[in-house]
Amino acid sequence: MKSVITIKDLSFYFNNNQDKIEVLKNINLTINEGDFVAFQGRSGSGKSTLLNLLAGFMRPKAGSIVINSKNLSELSENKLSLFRRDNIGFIFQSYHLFPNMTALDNVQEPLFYAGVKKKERTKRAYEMLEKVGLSDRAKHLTQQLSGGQQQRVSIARALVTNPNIILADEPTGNLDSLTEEGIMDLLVSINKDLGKTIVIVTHDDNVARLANRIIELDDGSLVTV
Amino acid sequence: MGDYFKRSIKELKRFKGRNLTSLIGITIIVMMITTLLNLSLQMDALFQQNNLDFLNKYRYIYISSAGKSIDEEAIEEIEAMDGIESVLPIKNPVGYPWVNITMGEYQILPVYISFFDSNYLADFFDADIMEDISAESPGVIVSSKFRNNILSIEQYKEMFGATESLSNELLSTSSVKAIKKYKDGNIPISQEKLEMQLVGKDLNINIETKYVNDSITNKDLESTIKITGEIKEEYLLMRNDSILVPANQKGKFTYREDFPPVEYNALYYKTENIEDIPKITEELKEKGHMTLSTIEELIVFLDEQQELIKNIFIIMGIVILLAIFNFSNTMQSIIQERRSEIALMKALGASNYQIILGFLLEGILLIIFALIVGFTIVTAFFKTIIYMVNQEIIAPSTYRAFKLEAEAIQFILNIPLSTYLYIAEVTILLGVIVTLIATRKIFKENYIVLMNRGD
Repeated sequence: MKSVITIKDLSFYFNNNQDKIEVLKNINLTINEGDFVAFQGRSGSGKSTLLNLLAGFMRPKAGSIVINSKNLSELSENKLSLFRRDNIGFIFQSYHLFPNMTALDNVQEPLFYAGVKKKERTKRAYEMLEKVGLSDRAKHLTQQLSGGQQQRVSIARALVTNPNIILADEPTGNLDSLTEEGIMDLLVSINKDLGKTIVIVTHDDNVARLANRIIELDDGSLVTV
Repeated sequence: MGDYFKRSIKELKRFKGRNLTSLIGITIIVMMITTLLNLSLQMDALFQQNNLDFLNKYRYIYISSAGKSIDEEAIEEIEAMDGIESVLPIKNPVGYPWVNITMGEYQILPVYISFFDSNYLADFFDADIMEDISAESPGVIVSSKFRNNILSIEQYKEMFGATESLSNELLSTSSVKAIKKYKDGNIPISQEKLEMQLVGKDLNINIETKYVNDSITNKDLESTIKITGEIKEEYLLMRNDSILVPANQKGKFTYREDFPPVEYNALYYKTENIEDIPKITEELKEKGHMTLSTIEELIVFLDEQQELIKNIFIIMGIVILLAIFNFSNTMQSIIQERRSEIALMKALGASNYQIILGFLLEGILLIIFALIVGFTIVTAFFKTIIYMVNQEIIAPSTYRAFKLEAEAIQFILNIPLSTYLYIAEVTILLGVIVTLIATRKIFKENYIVLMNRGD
């Protein structure tokens, strides 16, 4: 199977005054197309940092991350942003929707940056909202939506540019168990039906169990792959 | 670009409270800059034209009483002074200098008109009074603008020995309006004829003008002039913006009904010898007919005005700096407030260019709104300022001597389009630079900002 993410000798640390706090140590990992991977671990194990590095929000201190044959370290901040737009959909724990916009506008946003014309943008955003079961809420401001609905909008936004990789940072972390189930069902169907590679960070075993690979991190190192 | 434009409008509305405050601030600054720039430029132009080179060169001196009347007693007193050959008191209507004159069935043109007594006129020019001129007949001072309308530059130069400084400029706004009114009345204007017969019978000017197109600009105006007799310098007394042609019009002279009655408020005097001017002016000052009597005093007066211009430019500089500071602060605070939004945009794949373009458009739109509002208000406000300046600053009781050439000095009442464009260009350019400086931090924003802010 084709590998879409290749992590090689990856290390990362934070500088706290003069102290060096090691967060990730010599990580090597390959994720294939169509995988549903869950990163698990205790707080401070480095799982969210690893996801942020995969999204290009942070730069590795050592080693490399290659996604869709592009080495992220070789891209400038601006090019990284454009690369993310075309290749990665990101789902945030706190949704991070624009509060002054409707659900439809929020979903359209990545397409706006991709230079897609208004008519086409609206059509595709509607389709995505339909996929996540929220087409009837398209014109609602995000503030008027429940947490679960906001996360669905966030998922629709992550999918709208048709990236082959979806990264999700604790996507059910702010939701009750019933809503959590709905969101996870949605992610599973996105993986199975649309063939998207999904990498999820969670500390919830029930959520992790839905993935076909569980990768555990402990103190910045991979424990099980 | 349309999408970005709509977005920027939306964002301006979203932060309407703060943007309105900025808008008011920038508007006030635009108004101040426009007003100050115009005042200073026009005053500077005025002083440039009022240069002192020609003082003590000509025998014809003009005293303006700055709107106050010169009574018969004062006229007689001045006339009786040693060294003065003759005087010509004039009634200059204050505030209504432009009127229409109907010459028979042909002519309506805006003319700067002054009144004088034909007896004084004849005396002043050593001319015989024509039989059909009564003592009440008005003379006509035809303005240089009017002259521009009817003479080509070459004709003008030939007639009056004008220098290259003459410009055949477009009609003033008031002239355009007057002619338009005439044209709209469906009165044929394809050919115009102005006949003037001089008091002294030395000169007969016959001028024919016609518009070659259906237009009212000088470019479309053709004129021919036939002159018989000889023009003597004495017939061409120059004021700063007009030429005196003592005339008896054949036709009807009309003026506006609201034209106020005026007293003599200015006076030409002719000296016997040019060397007498300093002595005479000193005496005039002592008698209270002049506030300035020497070239030195005039220089001091003009220097004071130049000082005023300098101060105006200093104020302008400070105002512009304040404007930049204010706008920069606004943009910085907008960007600071929206840091997490910017980080999110980048997380969703926006390029730096796309984000900066949004802020640039917001800044430019804000400035354009301010320019429109500011220019509208200042245009209405400006005439009041100009009126005050004309009354209080540039019309002191003083004397002037003028060359026999076209020096159309006029403190104009409208702001030239080029000034608007200049201010708009500079303001928008400054806005763009300030916005670009303010947005430089955008390059550093990323998702980590969101997390650090606890979002």
